[in-house]
Amino acid sequence: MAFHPDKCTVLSVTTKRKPIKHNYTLHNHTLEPVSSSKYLGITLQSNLKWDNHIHDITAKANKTLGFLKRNLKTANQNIKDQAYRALVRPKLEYASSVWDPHTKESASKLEMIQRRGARVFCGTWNVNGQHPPISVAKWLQRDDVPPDVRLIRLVGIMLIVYVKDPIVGSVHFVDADYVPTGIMGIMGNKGGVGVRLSINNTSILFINSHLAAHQDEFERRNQDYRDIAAKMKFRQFVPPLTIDEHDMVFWIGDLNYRISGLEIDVVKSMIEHEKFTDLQSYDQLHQQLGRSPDVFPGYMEGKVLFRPTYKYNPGTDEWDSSEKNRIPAWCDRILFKGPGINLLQYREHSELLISDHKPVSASFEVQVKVVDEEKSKRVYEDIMKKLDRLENDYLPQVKLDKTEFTFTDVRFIEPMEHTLTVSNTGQVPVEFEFIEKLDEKSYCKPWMTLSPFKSVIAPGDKCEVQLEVYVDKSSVAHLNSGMDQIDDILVLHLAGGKDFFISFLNILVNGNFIASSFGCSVEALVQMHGPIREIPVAQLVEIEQPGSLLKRDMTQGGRLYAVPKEVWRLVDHIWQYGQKESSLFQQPGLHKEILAIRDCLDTGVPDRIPGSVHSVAEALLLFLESLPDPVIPCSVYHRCLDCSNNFMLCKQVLSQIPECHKNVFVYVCAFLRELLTHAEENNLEVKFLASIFGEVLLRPSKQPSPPSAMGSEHSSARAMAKEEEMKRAAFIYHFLTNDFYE
Amino acid sequence: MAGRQGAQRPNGATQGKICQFKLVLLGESAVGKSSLVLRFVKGQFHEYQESTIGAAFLTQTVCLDDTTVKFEIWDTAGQERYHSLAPMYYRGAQAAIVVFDITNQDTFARAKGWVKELQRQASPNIVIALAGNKADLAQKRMVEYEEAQAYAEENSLLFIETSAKTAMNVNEIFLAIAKKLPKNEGGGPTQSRQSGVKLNNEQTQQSEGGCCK
Repeated sequence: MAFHPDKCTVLSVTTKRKPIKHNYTLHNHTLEPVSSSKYLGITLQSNLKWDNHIHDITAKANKTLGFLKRNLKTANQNIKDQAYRALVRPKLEYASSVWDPHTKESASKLEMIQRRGARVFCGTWNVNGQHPPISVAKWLQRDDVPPDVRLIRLVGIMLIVYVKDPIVGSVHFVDADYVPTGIMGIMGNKGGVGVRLSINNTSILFINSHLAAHQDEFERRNQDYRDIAAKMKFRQFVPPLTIDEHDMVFWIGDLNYRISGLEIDVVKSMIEHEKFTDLQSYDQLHQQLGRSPDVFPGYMEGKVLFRPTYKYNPGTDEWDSSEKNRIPAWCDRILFKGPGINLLQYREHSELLISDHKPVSASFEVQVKVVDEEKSKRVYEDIMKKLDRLENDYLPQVKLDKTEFTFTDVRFIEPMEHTLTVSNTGQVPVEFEFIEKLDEKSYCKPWMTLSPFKSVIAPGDKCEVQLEVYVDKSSVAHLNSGMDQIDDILVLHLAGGKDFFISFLNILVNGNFIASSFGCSVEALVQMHGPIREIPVAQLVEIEQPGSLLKRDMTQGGRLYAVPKEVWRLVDHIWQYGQKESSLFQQPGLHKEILAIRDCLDTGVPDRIPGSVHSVAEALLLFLESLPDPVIPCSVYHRCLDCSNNFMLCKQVLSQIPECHKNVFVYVCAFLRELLTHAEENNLEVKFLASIFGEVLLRPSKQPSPPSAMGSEHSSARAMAKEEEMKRAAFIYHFLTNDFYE
Repeated sequence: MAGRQGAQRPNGATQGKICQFKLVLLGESAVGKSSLVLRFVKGQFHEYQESTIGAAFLTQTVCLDDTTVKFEIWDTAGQERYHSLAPMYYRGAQAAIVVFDITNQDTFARAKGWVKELQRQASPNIVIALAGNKADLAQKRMVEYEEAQAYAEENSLLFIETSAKTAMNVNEIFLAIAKKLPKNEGGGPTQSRQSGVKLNNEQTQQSEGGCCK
């Protein structure tokens, strides 16, 4: 097959911004490069968009639609419908599978919006303050086809918009505004009034204005226009709508522009000879319209092929014969702006005589955008659905390898660990964080640590979170007493992008804790006759109840230890094996040995406490530190500090604390004094012991840690802490250098 | 299209405004909360739906005549051990669907418990719907329609029997909630001083049109 070079063009499709241009030749004929070309009835574009095609077919379809409207005016609905389906729709739908509109705009252009013709009639008449004693029908009912919208102006500045009954339902958002430009810029004898409305989806604005008078004042008239254009706002809308934001504007009224540059006789003679076109070139408005950027920019006017409408002797068709002898002028005008406005008639009505002006009227056919409600709703719902899908697809999503973790046989100061793997299975980065539950201060119990507790995971990636349970001296007491359990729900919170894209995942933590004498109260310990492991849990819970000691006193009095046997065993061990050892309470013990010591105390076997004497010394300190209420109870802590410089007062405080606490205190101090008698061998110093045991025996009640302050506040808090430390040591010092019973 | 369009400019498309609401699903485990959401949002149904272990979040939009209601749906874990967490999820919710299984009387009792809790603890204006799910298993019914209906009426709840499996009434329940939710009109043109004067209306007096100021 041979190609005709004239019928071939080159269309290159590329994403390059600067495509390389080749010259293609066919039969020695260089082919013309084009950016769009028609092939099999479809317009292809080099950017692979279809807007040219859509533009072409909508234009074509509109043409046919216009043809049908003109020729099937009187046909019934059914025939119109058939014609539409046969002649218009195929144009729109031809090969639609190829160019299937994929952009929202294209689709909605085709689907939702159809245009409908509407007729607008505008009339303007400066009646010079006269009431019409005559029928105005000749002015207002001139067309065979009655208009849908009609607009008139009368006395002063008055604007009435009439809407034909059948389309009242399509009219919405009616609003009005006015701009006075008369005397002082506030009087209403000059100025403009506007009425706006929407017919279906087209916004239409009518403005009637009376601009400044007098032959030479056209600059004032221009200024009046600019004032009205700038100031007219329809405040029903947010933000207020301006004139230029309307699809169509009809600007009518006594605009007062005159004919200048010709003698009055010349003007009148030209009018007699109906040389309106020639005469119009002397019209002040005509000279500026479309030329001056700030006088009615964008507005158009029909050809003025009628006699000037000003100034007549009222009641006649004769030109003004007063002294002023005014030059005739086209004062009364009808301007319009916007697409889809087709002027049908523009004329004056000389048969109405009462005023020095003649009425002017124009009728238009305008194209009103009509949204097909059903299609529009469908398109809207489709879009919303797509948005929902996108939104849901892009929600953060994770998978957890496990959602339940069991920690079996958790023991004091023995860490236990599990790993949670959080995988990002969604399409967006996920930010996760463990969050507090309602009314809780922390996202997990004090015996638990999560690391990391927050992080960001990229799509497809994962993050391992270590869940560690570690019961230390601060959390052991509640677990011993049954007030707390190895049991928690962790809430993992996901955030991605915006904050409201959130979900929660619950992770269950459970397990059991093996009670230890570490972390039992002195009151409970002195009631325990066997090792703690041999005591039933229920009994443990019972003896940990406040006041349990008093109850026991009454029923089974006399069966209490003076000091907890665990304290006695630890002290006795050090006394036996370590009183001459140097660096006591200074050299750290071994963790493993401390665990063995814990088990020995809790189970009662073996008889001899295992481990080095340093481990035992550390265990003693830990034991005393783990007491829920310290040896010197929290309740008297501050009094102890206050009287730390007076031994007698310190002794008085001691006489007020519970017997068992006092016994432990006296016993420990006696032991320390004993150790100090061997200071030559073990090198212990009284100040060192006072300081160490000050920390262990005296503790304030747990307060919420003071907010971390900056600068001077911080340093003053540090100074206070230092002072408290000194006082604690001073308090103990008395008892290490004096016998309590002296 | 006409009417309350909020502060919308008149030139553009004239769909109504979008109201966003938080909706939470509550109910005993395995009554079909997640299945209802999945059916509503994605049109799917899984015979073996995994148990929800937290609160899953999805969005879905419902178009009414004059407004668009966008639901932020929180599907919660039904297991009793997570009960203490529920206030985190229903706090601030404007709507709740309390779901029970019509083949299981216990789940209906539990649903009543949820309704009571919501009435006590949730926002006072919360719109509550009661959904009797698994309506496709009517032959195993243990909760009579009339019983649930009477309970719902007493407590001014919406009540619909649904089936996530057959999709019966799933969209309907969300739609009913969307309709019942208050959509406050914030500003904007209220239908504009009903446009003008009807000239051929006999009672119409002399029209006042004075703009001459």
